[in-house]
Amino acid sequence: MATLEEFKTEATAEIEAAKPLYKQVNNERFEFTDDDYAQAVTDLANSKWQEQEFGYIQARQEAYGSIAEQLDMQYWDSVNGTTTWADHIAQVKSDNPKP
Amino acid sequence: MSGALIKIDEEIVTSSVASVDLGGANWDSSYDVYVVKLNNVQAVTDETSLMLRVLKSSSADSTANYDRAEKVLKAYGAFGDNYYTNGTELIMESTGNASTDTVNSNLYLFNFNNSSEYSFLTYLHSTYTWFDETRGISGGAVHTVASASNGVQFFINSGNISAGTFTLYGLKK
Repeated sequence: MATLEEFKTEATAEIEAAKPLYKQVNNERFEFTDDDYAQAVTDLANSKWQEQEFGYIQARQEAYGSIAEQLDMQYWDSVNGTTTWADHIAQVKSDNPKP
Repeated sequence: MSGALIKIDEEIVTSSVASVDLGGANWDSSYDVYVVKLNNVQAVTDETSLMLRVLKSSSADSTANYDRAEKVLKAYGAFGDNYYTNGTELIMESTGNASTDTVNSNLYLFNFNNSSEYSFLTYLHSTYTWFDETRGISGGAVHTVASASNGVQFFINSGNISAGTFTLYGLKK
């Protein structure tokens, strides 16, 4: 797992490669100032770190399915003696591990 | 006429830019409420996100003072919730680079001219996402710094904005 410092190094290289970057103000394009570039590096590094640390939460929410779908799984598990719901939840957690 | 929208600033992106400022030197502080319209905003890079910061004295404020809560209304599945406090920006919506991957939004800005209150935003997005699904997002956000703001800045978390029209209106009293 990468540290925030490692992401900053990665982000610095990516922003350097992407230069020049522009901002649009009053319908004119201006190249980023040094401060703007520094902020862009910080933002990109933070974004990468957030994705690493917390991306699994969003991914799990998407993959779990709706409460209605899960209740339906649980109903049919109770009728049929299966473990579809528990298997589904375990698979989602396994596919989207906590860092 | 009371209730009319008076255009204050408009930025039309036709060449890629990393950020777009609305307001700033063009800010007109004579309104209580402002409306921002985003039309067909697209990114250069797929699987990215459109972000927002408020402008303080025409500079984007990147301090960790952004709170937000929103409901994601998905045409493709269960609705979701997004929330956080003390972010360094507001995440607006996912962006993509296909011609159909666009964000269209209305935002309301409150208290921006009040130097002793936080700056408040509400927003509604309608999006065709980079993963080819339709969704709407309804949310509210607060920049928890008690000072006046004079605009907003939009940017992409990784890469450039390739297209879009960004318009700022004052809501006439």
